[in-house]
Amino acid sequence: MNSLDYLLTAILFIFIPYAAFAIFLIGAVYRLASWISPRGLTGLKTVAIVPNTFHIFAVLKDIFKRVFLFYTLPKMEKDRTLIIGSVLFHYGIWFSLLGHLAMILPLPVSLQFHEMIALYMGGTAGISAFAGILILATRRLHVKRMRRISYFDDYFAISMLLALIILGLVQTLYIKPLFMFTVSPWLVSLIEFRPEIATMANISPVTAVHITIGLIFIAYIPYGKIVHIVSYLFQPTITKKSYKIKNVKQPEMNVSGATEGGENSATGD
Amino acid sequence: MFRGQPREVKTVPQEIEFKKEDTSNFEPLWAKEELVSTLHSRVNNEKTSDPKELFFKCMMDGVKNNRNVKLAIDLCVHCGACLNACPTYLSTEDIHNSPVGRADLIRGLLKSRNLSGKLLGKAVGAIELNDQSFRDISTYYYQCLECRRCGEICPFGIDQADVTRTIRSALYDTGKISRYTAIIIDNAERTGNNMALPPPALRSTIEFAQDEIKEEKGVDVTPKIDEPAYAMFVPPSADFFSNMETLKGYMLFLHSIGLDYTFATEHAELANFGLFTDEKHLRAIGNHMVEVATKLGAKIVVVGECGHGWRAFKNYVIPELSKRGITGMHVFNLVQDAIKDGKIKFEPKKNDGPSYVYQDPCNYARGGDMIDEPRFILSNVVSKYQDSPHSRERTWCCGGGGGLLSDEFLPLRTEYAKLWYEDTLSIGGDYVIRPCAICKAQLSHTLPRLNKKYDHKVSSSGLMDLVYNAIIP
Repeated sequence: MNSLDYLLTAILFIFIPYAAFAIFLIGAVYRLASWISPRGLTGLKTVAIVPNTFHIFAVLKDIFKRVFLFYTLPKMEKDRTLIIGSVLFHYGIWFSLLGHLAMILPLPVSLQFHEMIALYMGGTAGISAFAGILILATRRLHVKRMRRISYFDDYFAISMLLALIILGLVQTLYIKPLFMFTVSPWLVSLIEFRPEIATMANISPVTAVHITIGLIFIAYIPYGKIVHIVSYLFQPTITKKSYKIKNVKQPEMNVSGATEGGENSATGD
Repeated sequence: MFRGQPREVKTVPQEIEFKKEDTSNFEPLWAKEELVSTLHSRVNNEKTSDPKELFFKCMMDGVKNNRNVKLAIDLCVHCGACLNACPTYLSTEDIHNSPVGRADLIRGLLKSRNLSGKLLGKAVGAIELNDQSFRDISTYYYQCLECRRCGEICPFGIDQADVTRTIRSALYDTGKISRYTAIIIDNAERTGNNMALPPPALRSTIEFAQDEIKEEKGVDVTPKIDEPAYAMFVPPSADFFSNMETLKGYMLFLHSIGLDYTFATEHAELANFGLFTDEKHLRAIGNHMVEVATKLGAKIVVVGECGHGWRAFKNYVIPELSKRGITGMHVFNLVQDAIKDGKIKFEPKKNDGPSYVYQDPCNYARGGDMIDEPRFILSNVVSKYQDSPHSRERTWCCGGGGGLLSDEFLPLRTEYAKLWYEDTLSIGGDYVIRPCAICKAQLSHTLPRLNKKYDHKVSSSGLMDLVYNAIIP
């Protein structure tokens, strides 16, 4: 590696990763603080919106259904593309991300089997994400009312994701590189704070671009709409319980004035 | 009047014309400065010379102090799911008259003052705070029904109703509040009820209801008025005014279970328009109810049929009452218990005839947890009823929620009302049950228009009305 190449590799694989991570961290802390610091709920004890969520399990069940089943999205009505696109896209991304995890947490399987998983599962997940984002992007561009509520940030996030998915698919389906000996050691070295870029010198340009866009995307996460991957966990309308009132039974009532007093039995909050 | 002079003609104000895709002409009548000062003086508001900047400051305070609002402003991914949920957008197709459109008016203001907005301007949706944008905000934030249907459907639970309440509160702080809501809040705070009914009028209405119950059911009901009792009963004041059958239903029922209860002329109002407009007044009106209940030595406060009043009561007043050892509950809780305990019996045949459709008032279903009780009661008092195609947490607002019941909005409200009206027709219903004072008022205004337009005859009432008919005394 000549010195210019080395410098470029170092910028791409040492400077940018740490810078991206730092920008991510600053944004994440700032964002989290801004969500946690407001204490009020527009004057009310609870602003829970889903009925009868008196127990934490009811709250968790609803959140689970929102995240994994997209159950609130319109289904049989006019706008089916949203739920179809969302399901394909999000499940595709989740499984792709799980696949990426194998780079730092190697699977205890043979190399051949690992490659098979990468090709078939990774390929399926990638295609699903690709189809999903195409449906969602088309919806956003094609439907007039969606264009009216779309801004630069929306298109920016979609473009980044589209580029990442396409480049990811090109690697998975055509290049089929062995990251185990290139990207994996580099990633581990970054995490251990002793960056080692020698293995990255000869990776495919497609991989290099994928990594770079990915890092810029990570840096962008806390600043744009992508925060929705965690932010809903702070939204009181769906994470707070309903306020449970105490129902005084009638036999107690008719004994005038003889029933309980001073006791605050209200749960909730 | 002098001869020859043209006679002064009292002009009937022209009805505002409804146009699809642009409802910017539906601006509420604003309250006069004098009334606003009166209201401000009760909650110690500051004054200022530049309303727009004060608005921005108050809005920022609202966003920074309320987690639900902060998250709502921060969180949107612009997926458009709310456009399919929002009754105001579905009936008008004006993008600003939608959850995301309304919120973007605010997000735009915030962006105009942060880095991305300064660099990229309109591309990221930045909106400068000027006369036009200020007017857009005040107009469109008074077209929201605060029904929370968007919040339920939004994958992230972004509740535009809470944003609307915050923005209206900031507008109010700058002196802008709709005349209608201002008058109602003033009435409630001055007289203890929205209709400004003086105690003698309340007493005579109750006596009138007693007479009718005696005549129709042969029962002597003897409610206390302003006397210490185990329970204080608080209906919405509209029930003393236009929903007599509902009032009679409460009175006969409470008599039947032998509850020791009193009306309070000092606070004869479950509705709380502070919820629609301003948190400070929400508390002031709620606290007054707590004071009166304490004064009368009540152990429980039982309330009547009012959707938003129930949300405010359940989520603000009951927690306050419980600090003083007082419990609060809905009359439906009592009716349900009485049925289960076999304390009251019904003859559902008395209600036979109409094809009943139950439609949940928004604030019972979204924020009130009052969904199964009315259905249980209904199944006992009528032989047969149907759920609306959009029911429970997916129910449509009647179209008059959020303090939009005033005359200038009638054409818009009629459009909003088509959603539940068409639902009713689609299942062959001709009688809508909505146990909520705002629903009842909105239905009484819009049903004549809709019945004429669709050439059908749909009527409506509350639930206690049907309890009254069917109860065996």
